[in-house]
Amino acid sequence: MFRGEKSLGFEFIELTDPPPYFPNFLGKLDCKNSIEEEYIKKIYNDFKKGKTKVYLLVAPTDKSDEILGFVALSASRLDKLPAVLIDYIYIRPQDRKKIFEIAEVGQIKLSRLLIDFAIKCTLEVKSIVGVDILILEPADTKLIAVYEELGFTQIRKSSWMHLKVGKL
Amino acid sequence: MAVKMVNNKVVNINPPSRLTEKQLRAIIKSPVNEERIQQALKSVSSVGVSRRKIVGL
Repeated sequence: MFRGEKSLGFEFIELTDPPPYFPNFLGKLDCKNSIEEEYIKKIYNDFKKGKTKVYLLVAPTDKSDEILGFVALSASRLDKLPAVLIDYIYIRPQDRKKIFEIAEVGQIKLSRLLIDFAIKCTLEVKSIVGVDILILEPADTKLIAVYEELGFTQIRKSSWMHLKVGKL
Repeated sequence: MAVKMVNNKVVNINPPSRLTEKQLRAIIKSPVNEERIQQALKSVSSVGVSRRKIVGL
């Protein structure tokens, strides 16, 4: 947020077809390192090909929108089980460990908010298509505990995790 | 397709296409955490979802 701008809270916005947001979209995101930048470029290319949907978490101000993070989602399959797949979760570096206060919800981290959004999307998909699980693969083993706290269960002898939203 | 770093290159990876019976059974038998789902719905509804175009980028 720039000085003098007043934040109006948080909002999820579906990233629409580029241009005009590309390359500005990538330019607006702070990356921790070049690997993360490569991840985002890959996700953006998948988005342009229609392989993934990107939902931005923004903090609208009275002058502009500030992107705090995003979640990329696609339809997938885990063996016989149809699933919604979290392709990528990004939170800008300065907000990664921060706790935010949201009215009616209380204290929350942005990672939880993005996962909550993915759960809601899975429930919406479930209402029209046969799907009962949300899946992801943590980028490294340290994140397994984080995702377990967010409701995911590790699939035994696998690096993948799932969260059930309905009865299989 | 999730993305992952493999041999210093970011590539798409697919979820396992074959699971053992044991793995499948564990997923199928795992309970639905209704409380977690309700929490998620509550926080997303408090934040709000919009289809408006982003401005100022």
